[in-house]
Amino acid sequence: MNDVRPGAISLRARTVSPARAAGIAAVCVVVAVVAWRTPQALRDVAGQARGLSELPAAQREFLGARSADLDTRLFVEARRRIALDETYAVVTGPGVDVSLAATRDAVAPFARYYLLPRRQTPEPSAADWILSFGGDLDGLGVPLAQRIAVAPGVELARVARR
Amino acid sequence: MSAYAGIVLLDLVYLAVGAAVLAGMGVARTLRAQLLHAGLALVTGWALVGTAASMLLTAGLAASVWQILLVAATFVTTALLLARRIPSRPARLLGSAAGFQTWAAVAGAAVLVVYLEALFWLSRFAQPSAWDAWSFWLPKAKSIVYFGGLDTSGGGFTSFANSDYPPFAPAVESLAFRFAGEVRTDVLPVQHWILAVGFFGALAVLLARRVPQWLLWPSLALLALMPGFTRLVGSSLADEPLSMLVALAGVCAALWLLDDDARVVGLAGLFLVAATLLKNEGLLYALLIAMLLALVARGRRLIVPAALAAASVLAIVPWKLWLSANDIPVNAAYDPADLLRPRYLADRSDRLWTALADVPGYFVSWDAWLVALPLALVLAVAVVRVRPRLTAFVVGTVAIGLAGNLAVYWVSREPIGWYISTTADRTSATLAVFCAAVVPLLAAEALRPRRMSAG
Repeated sequence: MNDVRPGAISLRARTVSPARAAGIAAVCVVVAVVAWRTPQALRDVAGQARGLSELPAAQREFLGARSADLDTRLFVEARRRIALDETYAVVTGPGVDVSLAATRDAVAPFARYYLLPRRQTPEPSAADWILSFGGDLDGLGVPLAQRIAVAPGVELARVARR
Repeated sequence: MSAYAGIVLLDLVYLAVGAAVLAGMGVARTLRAQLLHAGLALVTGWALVGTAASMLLTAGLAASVWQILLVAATFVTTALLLARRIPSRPARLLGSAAGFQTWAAVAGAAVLVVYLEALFWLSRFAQPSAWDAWSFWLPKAKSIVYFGGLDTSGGGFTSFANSDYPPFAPAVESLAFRFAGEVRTDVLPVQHWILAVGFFGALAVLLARRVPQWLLWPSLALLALMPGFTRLVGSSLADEPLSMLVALAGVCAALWLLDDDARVVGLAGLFLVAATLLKNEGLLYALLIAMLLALVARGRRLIVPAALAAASVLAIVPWKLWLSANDIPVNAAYDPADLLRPRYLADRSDRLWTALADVPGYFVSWDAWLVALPLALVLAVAVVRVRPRLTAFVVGTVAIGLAGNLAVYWVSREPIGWYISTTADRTSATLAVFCAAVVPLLAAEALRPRRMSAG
């Protein structure tokens, strides 16, 4: 930096080159956009903050699930019943009406996010528990020790150990 | 100790490492200089510690609190030893002129501070809710804490989507969990907000070498106000830190072209190594910046861009070896090698036309990036006669970065419409934030009296 001695930079000058004109125009654009955008941006951010602050903390954790229109009661029940060292599998199917195409695809990844350190396994027969979101538990051929209906078509099931 | 106190402690560790590194490089050795460089120190320390945490994890360690504190102490000691050998060369920052220009600086800084304060309250109550955040970035971070490192068994680190992505982002999120004392995702937006504040502090002190205050602060306010940037802060998407790191590296590289100060290019190297370990695109941006520097700095020390490229490539080698040793499949969304298959490309030419028609709109979207990209391009062209190297660097970064984005959509195996609609708003972030960061530098060069040497 010592080998450079930048001169004073000012909007005032006797001659205006194309580069200088572009610089002045850019300054005007920056100032205009900032002045025009600031009030709305502050209102938007403050509104979002207010909306979030009014939600209970437990509900904020489900914002991602809600954006995929997931019924979060399944995950709450699973977290309550599945021990930290137990495993679970997720099955989905048409047994639940969904509003978004991505809803069923979101069940397994959201379960992984919410239920860690409980490990998700792809094979229901190898799991201790099964989370069913519209899936066909009877058709799995896996003996079940307990079935807990969380909502119509949404079930949590404990796999029977032989 | 509350979780937020733990977050503050973590940031103090980042700050101490960064401050020591800046002192060791001779950039900031007085108390006043350290205060001015606090933002740069925070981001530098975060990049260095995050890189070290990634390496520890790849080596099979847990990146636990005591390991990170040991690494931080090693960095600080080494940097302070270097300070005894490296002479001090403090940066000379441009002050503020009198009159209306002072008011412009104060108003710009006020907008930035007020907006960041509003973002703090949003971060205080937010939770990461983006699909990619909860589907793989955050579960990876949680699994590092719960399973003591990169667990490759079922339900572990490699069981989530994009298992081949480098570990920097989950590594630093896991540090936030560890210092917070528990796995709580609600502390992450505040941590990301702190880094965003550091990012603006870093940009301010770097750009102030050549940009007057009255131009600097309104420009930084413009960057903060970009809706796409606001959406990224606290999202826990890797595009958030990637855009900041590439922007900082780009500004450092541009300053090197103008001032030939090796210290800023050293910082660029740190940021590019961190970017390489953040996301697969990070390596591409690191190589892009190194290549452009080599092209536009012809006749000047080519060792510098070569070192930048080598550092980034060397940084990713352990991760690639780890992937290979653990038989982790590469990302199925696209394979860059497909760009070398003419018939494959010809068969998918319709995807290229779709990408050409749809993708550029995301980069110039007012609703996401305001005027950042067009403003940077116009200014870059305007200064071509007085700063040809700077013009070539900025235009080249935008052109090749955009071309790289289009190429990914061209060769990808994902449905093109879905792929663009779910990713382009984020993948455009890196170039848009870079453009917003160089706008004040370009504008200052356009307004600078013409007796200066060309850069």
